[in-house]
Amino acid sequence: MRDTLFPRWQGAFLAVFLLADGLYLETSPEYIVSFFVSTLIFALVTFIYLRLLAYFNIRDFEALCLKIPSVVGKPLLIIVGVFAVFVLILSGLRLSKFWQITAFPAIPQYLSMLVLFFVAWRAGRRGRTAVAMWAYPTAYLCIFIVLLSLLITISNSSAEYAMNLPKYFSFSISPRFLYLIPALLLCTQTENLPTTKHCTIGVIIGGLGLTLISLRAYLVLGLACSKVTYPCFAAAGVFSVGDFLQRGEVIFACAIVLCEAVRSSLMLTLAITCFRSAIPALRKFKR
Amino acid sequence: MKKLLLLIPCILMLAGCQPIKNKRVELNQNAGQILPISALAIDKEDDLYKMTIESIRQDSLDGEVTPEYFTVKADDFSKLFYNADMMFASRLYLSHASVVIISEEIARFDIDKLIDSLIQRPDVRLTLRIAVSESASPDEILQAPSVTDGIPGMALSSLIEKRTKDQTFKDFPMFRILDYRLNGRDIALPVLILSDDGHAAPDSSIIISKDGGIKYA
Repeated sequence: MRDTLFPRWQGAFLAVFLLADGLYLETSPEYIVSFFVSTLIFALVTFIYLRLLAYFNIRDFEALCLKIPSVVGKPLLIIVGVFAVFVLILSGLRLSKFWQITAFPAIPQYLSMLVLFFVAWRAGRRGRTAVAMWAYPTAYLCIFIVLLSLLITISNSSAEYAMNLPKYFSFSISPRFLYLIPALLLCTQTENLPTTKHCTIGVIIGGLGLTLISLRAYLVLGLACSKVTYPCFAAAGVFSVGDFLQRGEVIFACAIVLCEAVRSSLMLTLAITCFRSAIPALRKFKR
Repeated sequence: MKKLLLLIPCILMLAGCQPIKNKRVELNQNAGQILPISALAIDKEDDLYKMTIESIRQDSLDGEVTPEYFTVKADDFSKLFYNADMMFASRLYLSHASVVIISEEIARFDIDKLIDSLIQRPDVRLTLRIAVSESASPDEILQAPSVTDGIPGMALSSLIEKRTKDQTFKDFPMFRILDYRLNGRDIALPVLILSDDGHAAPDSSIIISKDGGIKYA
């Protein structure tokens, strides 16, 4: 049976998918501008892609692949599946490295990767519907924490750096946003024709979230960003409210790690869907 | 049954010690407890850096904390922290450290190297403050009894924090020092002295230019 993702869940999915990059972002002015430009371009791409699907009366990418000749459709599904596995491994590598450098230096990287994959497998085996259902509240929680973190550190920002930003404006696209394509291809799945509103909003929220996280790090740390391993993470911790609220970066990191877990689960379900659709023999195996 | 079998390798991996290339991390992570550090004082003597470490001990049942002081020496900052890490059975934990007191010579010529070494450690906070000792050595300032009868290093940190808020001192946490130095701009560090009654007291600010030139404000 096909998974069904409600439009709001799809939007939340795309926002969470993008926000999962929040710990590892580059923080130079050129990158900040490219995040902003990429947000606008990919919101437009999302909108046009979904409009086209609706126009041609196709529910989603999977349905599209089944309509076109199988000589083209099946390899396409396998390529997307392999790409989803690649993104999953990339998530595991970067998160395990982050954990080892910042919090758990004694835990080997492969072990923390296994933990992430285990979480992704446990969540992903229940299908995209279950993962998407959890992505919706997760998106709200993460957006709240990210906004709170941004507001609290705003007093430490340097206005001088903000004034210089327009000088760096250019139409460059951040490669990070390219990973959105497989998510966009298969997470916009529904029993009806796709709607554009929620997915476009999801991409805008996720993209603007990344832009603001990166911008905050640049405005707070300035050139010190280049010396810090994870500037976006470090910039979240430059405030303290007395002895009560210290280590704000930990709360910030927890929210982003949650997004990473959802992203990994999504990639796993996408890979499973692609391989099961492309190779019928796999369908007899349980998830 | 299959699920239980899957758990076995996970449990086996948790039980064993893993070979890690970074010897320092390996030795000290396996050392067991962490040793919380509240403040550091760094001086230069005979071409060697001398670091006095103020650690916090909480041995009594009533929760009372007492400071303990240790000294290590090395010819560069990385070795200084390495030696300090190797000295104890516990791992040096700098997350609670909020102030580093340094001599004027280090502030003028070696502050970039010091910050580079500090920033390599993931447990060091970017809000750490660096103060300069005047008329007494950094470890004398650090170990001077606190008026508030608390841990001297923590009392000093609190003092600098308050003086920063009332704008006696300019606000220069470590991340801002780093940013200003990379920009080639002057930095301002708080100066601490020993008062006549033997307590650490705030004095003025020392403004240090990129080439090591100083002036007091």
